[in-house]
Amino acid sequence: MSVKAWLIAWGRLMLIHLFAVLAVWLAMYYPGLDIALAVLYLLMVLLEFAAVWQWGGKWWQSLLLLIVWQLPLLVCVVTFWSGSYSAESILYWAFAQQMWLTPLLPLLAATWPQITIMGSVAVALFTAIFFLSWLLRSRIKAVK
Amino acid sequence: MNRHLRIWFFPIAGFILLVLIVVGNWSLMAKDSGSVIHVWVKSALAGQPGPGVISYAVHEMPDIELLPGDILLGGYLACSYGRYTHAALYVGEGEVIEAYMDLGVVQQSMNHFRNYDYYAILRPKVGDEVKTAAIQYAASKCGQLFYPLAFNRDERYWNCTKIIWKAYEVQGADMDPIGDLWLSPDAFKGSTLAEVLYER
Repeated sequence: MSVKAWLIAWGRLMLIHLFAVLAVWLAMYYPGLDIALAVLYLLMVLLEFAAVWQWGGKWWQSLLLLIVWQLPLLVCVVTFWSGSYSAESILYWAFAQQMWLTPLLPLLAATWPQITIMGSVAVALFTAIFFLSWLLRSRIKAVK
Repeated sequence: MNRHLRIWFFPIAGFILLVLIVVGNWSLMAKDSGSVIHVWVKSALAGQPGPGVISYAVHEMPDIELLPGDILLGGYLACSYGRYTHAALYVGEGEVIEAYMDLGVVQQSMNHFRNYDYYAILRPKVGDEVKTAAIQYAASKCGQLFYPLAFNRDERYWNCTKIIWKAYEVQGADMDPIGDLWLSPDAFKGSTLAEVLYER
C-alpha cells in the first residue's frame, strides 16, 4: 500500500469520524436515532478497514492507520490511566474525550459512563472492529 | 455500502438533522426568545466560549437551612452561558445529586460549592411530595452518562441542569417555560417555580 493510499485511507476515516461526531450528536435529539447512527458508524469503520486490506495494506500499515486515526483517544486514555492531569485539567480532558467519542456514546451510555473506563472500552471496540475487518476482508466488498 | 456513500452519509445526515432541529425550534432562534443559545453565541463572539475560570478560593457558606429539593447554583467568572456555571439538587445531610463531566450523575458532598465565586440557593415552589419524587427520580439516574450538549428530550444523556429540570418536569413542575434545547443554570433562577433564598 503506497503512502498516498494510506493517507487517503486516513483522511477518509477522519472525515467519517468527524462528521459522525456532528451527526450522532444531532441525532440525540431524536432518541433511538442516535443508536442507529452509532451502529452505522461502526459498520462504516469496518468497511473502511476491510477496504484497506483489499487494497493490499500490510499488517503494520493497517495497525498504524488505526493508531494514528484514534490518536486523540489514545492520548486521553493514557492521560487518564497515568494520572498525569491536574484537578482543573481533568474536566478539559474529559470534555475532549467525550466529544471525540460522540459516535460511540449511544452504545457506551448504557454500561460504561465512568470517564476513565469509557476510553479504554472504546479502544477495545475499535481494536475488535479492526480484527473483524481482517477476518472478513475477503468476504465483504468494501473497495467499490 | 459503497465508498462514496460512506464518505457522504454523515455530512448529509448531519445537515438534514441540523435543518430539522432548527426548523422545529424556530421560535428559539429569535434573539428575544430567551434561549441560552443567544447567551452563548454572544459570549463566544466576545472570546469567552467556556464554562468560566475555575477558582480555588474558599468562601463562607450562608447560614440558611437547606431543605431536600433545594437547587444550588454555583458560578465562575467569565462563564459563557450565564452567571452560573453549575447546578445541583440538594438531597439532605449535606449532599447533592449533580452531573459532572468526569463522574456522570453522582450523589456527593456539597462542600465544593464553597469554591464558586457566585452561589445561589433556590427553593422550588412545589409541595414536599413533589420534591421527594424529584429526588428519587434524580437518584435513579446516578451512574448515568454526562454529555455537555445533551438535548432535553431523552433520558440517557445528562448535564447538570437537565437532571434537575427533568426530575421536576416529570412531576409536573416544568421550570423551562420556553422549551429551550438546553437549560442553563440561570434559567432556574429566572423560573417562576423557584424562589431565590440567597445569592452572592
